[in-house]
Amino acid sequence: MSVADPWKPFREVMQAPWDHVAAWKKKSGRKVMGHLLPDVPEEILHGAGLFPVAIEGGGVQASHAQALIPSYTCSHALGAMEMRLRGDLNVLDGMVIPYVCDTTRNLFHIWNLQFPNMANELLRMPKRLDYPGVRTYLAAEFSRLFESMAKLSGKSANTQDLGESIRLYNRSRARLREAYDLHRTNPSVWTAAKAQLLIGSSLRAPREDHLKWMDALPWDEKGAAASVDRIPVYVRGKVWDPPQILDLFDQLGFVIVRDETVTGWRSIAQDAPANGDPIAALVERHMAAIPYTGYHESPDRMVAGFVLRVRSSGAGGVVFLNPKFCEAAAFDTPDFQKGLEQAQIPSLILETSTRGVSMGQVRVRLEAFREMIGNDLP
Amino acid sequence: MYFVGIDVGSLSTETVILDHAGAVVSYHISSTGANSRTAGEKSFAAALASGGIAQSEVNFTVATGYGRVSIPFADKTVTEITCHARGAVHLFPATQTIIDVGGQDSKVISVSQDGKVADFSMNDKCAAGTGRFLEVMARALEIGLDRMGPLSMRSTRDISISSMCTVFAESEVISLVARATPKEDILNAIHQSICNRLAPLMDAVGIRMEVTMTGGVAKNTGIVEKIREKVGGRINVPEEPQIVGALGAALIARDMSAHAQ
Repeated sequence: MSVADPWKPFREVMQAPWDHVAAWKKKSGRKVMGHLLPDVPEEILHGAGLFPVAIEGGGVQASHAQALIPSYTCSHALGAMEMRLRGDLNVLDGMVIPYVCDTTRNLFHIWNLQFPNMANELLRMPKRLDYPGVRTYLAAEFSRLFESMAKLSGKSANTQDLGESIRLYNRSRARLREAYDLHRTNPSVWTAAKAQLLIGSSLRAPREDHLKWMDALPWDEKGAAASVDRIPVYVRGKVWDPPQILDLFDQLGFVIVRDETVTGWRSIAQDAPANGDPIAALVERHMAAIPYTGYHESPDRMVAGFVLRVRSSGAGGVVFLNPKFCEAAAFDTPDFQKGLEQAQIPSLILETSTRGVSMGQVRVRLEAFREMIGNDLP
Repeated sequence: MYFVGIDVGSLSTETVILDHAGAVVSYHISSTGANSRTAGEKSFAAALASGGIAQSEVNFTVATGYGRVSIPFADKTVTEITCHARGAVHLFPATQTIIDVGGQDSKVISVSQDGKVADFSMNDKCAAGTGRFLEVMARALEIGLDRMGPLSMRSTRDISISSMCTVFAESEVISLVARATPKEDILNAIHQSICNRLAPLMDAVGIRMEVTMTGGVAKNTGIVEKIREKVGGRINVPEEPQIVGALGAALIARDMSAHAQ
């Protein structure tokens, strides 16, 4: 890959991820483990000697998958199945699907029946984060996954290797947070689309290589002028679906000061403690992460925590990027919106999906929201 | 000096020209057709001619509607949500909720005490419940759009059109016609179906009186009556509801011009 254009490696990964994964697999001899987002610790797969690759179904037009999964399923799950059926994921040796909602649980069982020759794992995530036994349970589940993955790769489950992987991923996340902060302060150069390009490609490329590519980026590049009229917004959602929505945020003069998507800030916000028991460190990272939409704790505490995060971000408004047919997101949103109303923070709900969404209509909504919360009009 | 608002919608394009006092000097309504830029230019030229105004006398132009970005001579583009709110509040200052049913989408807009958009909701699934839906139904029933409202008021029997999809609803209407169902009853069902389609948008935003209805569909008295029953109060309908978006754009143009000075 050329480094003349420092952004090129990232773009190439996103444009043809599976070609690159196949090339890396051949070069490294490592088996490739797909993991459906969110919350599968990549460190466990990496520490076990595998090459972890995130599977994101958003942005995929489903056709074949509708023969196996009802069409009223979120595009994340439907898209993952579609990619496997059309052969994109043939390079995978196995797949970890986290049980974060009923859809992912059922997806796993369909997947396992359809593709019995793959090493498939259901990672059972705890739904209640406020139960006393949650840390013990999660440590056991992570340990089980680690041993299973090590068996697949043919090496022993070594906590020293896992510690090394944790430190590698921490370094990667620190660099990605740096890029995200540059988007906040210099959005005309470090656009939302660029920040997301870095995060998205990190989930699909070998982290060691990705870190090197990031070192070559123009970190000191400044914009022609500070964009003082940009509207700071906070985005709560699952994935950037349709992917073009990031360009819309940029074009319409928003700056995403924080987001809770599983391919955005939420995925890089927390590091695992670098020392001590690595499994316990990964458990702590999970517990400190922004609660995923399918997880539950006290509703009051969830809403209060959300409003606090929005306030401390400096956002002038919140955009809910709810995937169509995601019941978990639809369930949580009214509580969050009520909390925002009480805090007098304006919000907009966008129910989006690659399937059946008109970008023109999404643009009208976002633009009207900007007019609503901005000071452009007298 | 004059201020212009152009609303390039999916079905029709409207231009409104205001004088410095905010009075409507001229307006023009035409079909958009296949080229929104041409539609905007023709509508603008026709409104200028109708008011006897030279283009050089226009101080500021705001374009709105789905084709707003295709108007090269616009000084500013603003969404139709903001423009309809501005126009409706100008015509009926006590307006707190706006229901705009246009050619390809429907919106419910809530405005704050100062007349600014506080919340809004839009249809997002298909053209069912919009002006295009009505056009298709009028064609299936072989009657003019202007006759749909008065005819539906003569309905004596409630029937329902279950589908919310324009194509499927058209099939249902054709089946009803084949069974010699009176057109009045079919129209009544069509209007009820549109109202049902608007209901979730109204519920999402919340209806606060006064309510003003804008967009071309507000010319249909049958639909206005259905919505009146739903909200339980009077509905303001402008004399020419189709130009409210363009009027709002023209008012914003006047404000922006003043602000710039």
